[in-house]
Amino acid sequence: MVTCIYGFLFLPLIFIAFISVFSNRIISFPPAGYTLQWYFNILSQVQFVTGFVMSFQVALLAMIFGCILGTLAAIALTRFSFPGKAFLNMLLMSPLVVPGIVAGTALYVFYIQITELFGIRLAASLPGLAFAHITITIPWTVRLVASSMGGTDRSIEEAAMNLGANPWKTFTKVTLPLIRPGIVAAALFSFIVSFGNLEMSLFLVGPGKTTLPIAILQYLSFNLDPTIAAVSVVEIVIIGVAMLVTNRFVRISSIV
Amino acid sequence: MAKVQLRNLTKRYGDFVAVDDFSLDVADGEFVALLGPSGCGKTTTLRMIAGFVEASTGEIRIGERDVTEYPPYRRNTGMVFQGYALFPHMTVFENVAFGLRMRRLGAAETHERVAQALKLVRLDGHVDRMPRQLSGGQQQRVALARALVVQPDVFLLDEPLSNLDAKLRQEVRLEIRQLQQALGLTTIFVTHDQEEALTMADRLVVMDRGAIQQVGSPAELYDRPVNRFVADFIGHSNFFNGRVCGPGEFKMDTGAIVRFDPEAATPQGDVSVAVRPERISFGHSPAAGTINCFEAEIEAVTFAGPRLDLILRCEGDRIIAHVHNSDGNVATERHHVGEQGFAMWSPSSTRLVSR
Repeated sequence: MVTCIYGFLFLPLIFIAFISVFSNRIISFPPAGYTLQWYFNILSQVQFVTGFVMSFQVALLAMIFGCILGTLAAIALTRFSFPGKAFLNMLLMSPLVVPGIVAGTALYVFYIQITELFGIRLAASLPGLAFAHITITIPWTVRLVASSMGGTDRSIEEAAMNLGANPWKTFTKVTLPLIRPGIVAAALFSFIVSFGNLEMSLFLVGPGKTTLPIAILQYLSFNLDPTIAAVSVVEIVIIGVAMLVTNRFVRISSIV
Repeated sequence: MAKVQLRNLTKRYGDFVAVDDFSLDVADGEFVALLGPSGCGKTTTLRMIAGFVEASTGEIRIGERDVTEYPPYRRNTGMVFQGYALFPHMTVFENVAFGLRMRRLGAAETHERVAQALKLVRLDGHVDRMPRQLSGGQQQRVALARALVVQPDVFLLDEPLSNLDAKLRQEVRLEIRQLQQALGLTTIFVTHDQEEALTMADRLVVMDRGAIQQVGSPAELYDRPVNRFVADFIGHSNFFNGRVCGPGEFKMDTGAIVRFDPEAATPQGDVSVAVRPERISFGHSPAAGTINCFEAEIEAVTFAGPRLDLILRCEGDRIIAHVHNSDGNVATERHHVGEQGFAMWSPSSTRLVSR
């Protein structure tokens, strides 16, 4: 049973890796031969290289700011009670509920208005994309950090205060180290969610300012060669390595 | 160390009064136990002293300072938590040194004082371990050392023994008491375990439903409880309802007269008579000179090691009498269910308590 489920999950990944070395110009089965030329083709397609750089920058920004904001929100939600707490919690979760394409459209309209009012260009820019992705990383950070806040014993923080630590010292010396695994996991998930996001970015990219998933989509509109499979393999490897590296610092399985 | 004065401390949560007008003076070097069932307000009181719970009204003085408005980190109390609350990401040394670092002590003095504190709790040699590598008893010692190393004005213990097994608890109980006396620590100890409170504290404060029921030495509380709650919470008591009908005379609801010491303080209002099980003896004929003597029938017999518990039917009530196993010959067959006889006790063992 378990083997079947894992097989079902991994089969597409294995198949993509398999296709990426086919020598056929159009993806078809059985392969005429095997080649690594599609991997070199990635580098010759400039939109993949710039798309990768763009996606990486966006994901990094979304991860950093999403983690900071999400952690602060998680602390507020778990440690304090204030009016509108339930509403705030719902609001922070809402990006998961709204379809990405809808949120992307709404943000696009919003950006255009900002441009008209203040002359600041956000659509098809790095800050604009990063901002959009922060909204989808926050639900992850809030949930992951809040659950690790919930798992820490409140009396440990009280012990620190009892020993003379003011609220700031208590936070930096005790709370933060205790919720570190949650934050690291949140950072990893933020990065992955942002890096792989397609639908929300659709309206927010522009010529020369395209993320990798959108570059792949655009390439697919005109070509059906194994380059796409090669790009996918590269992306899977990057995310896989990120997870392995993170797992060395915190056991992801103990948090998620 | 310093004295602690609590004046009219009250804590309300909406309509619920968790602690009601609590006043107490703890002398310098005194060991006071707050004792009561769960939800009686003892932990809330302790947390108010530590500063984790804000008092609704009232005043807290530690030494000469009025700390009522102080945040916890400026009160200089040393608290040991129920679950120890060690910092799991720090070694034993770092745990104990934490308070000294917050006080910005130099490295040399920090090392010296941490070493001293760990030696005090016999944990020297474990400085580099992580808390999870220690046994429950050792973790507890770290918590003690961590609280003591900062030389607090008052030592606060919140049920520190409840996570230890029975054998270890006995040991640690004695150790804490010796430490407290050797260092002259002003100590406030919260527990629901009456035996713990009786054996450790100089003075006990029995609480129920947020209010102080009685304050006194262990012997005072045991031998002269003022009300039915205290008489029943500390040790066990047999109660008879009725009313005082003359000097030293109490008429039970069944009509029988119980005599008590007329010199003893008599509480006002509705009263009951309380008699400790170990003061009641059971015999087949009234012993000569016994004043309180009532017919009784054995309903059950249980062997409890150092004693035999006789459950008696007496004056319409079910009462317990203890028979001491002083000669190792108190076998259950000496008493049997259905046996008729007399329950007897002296007037001085008869306490009047308010209901």
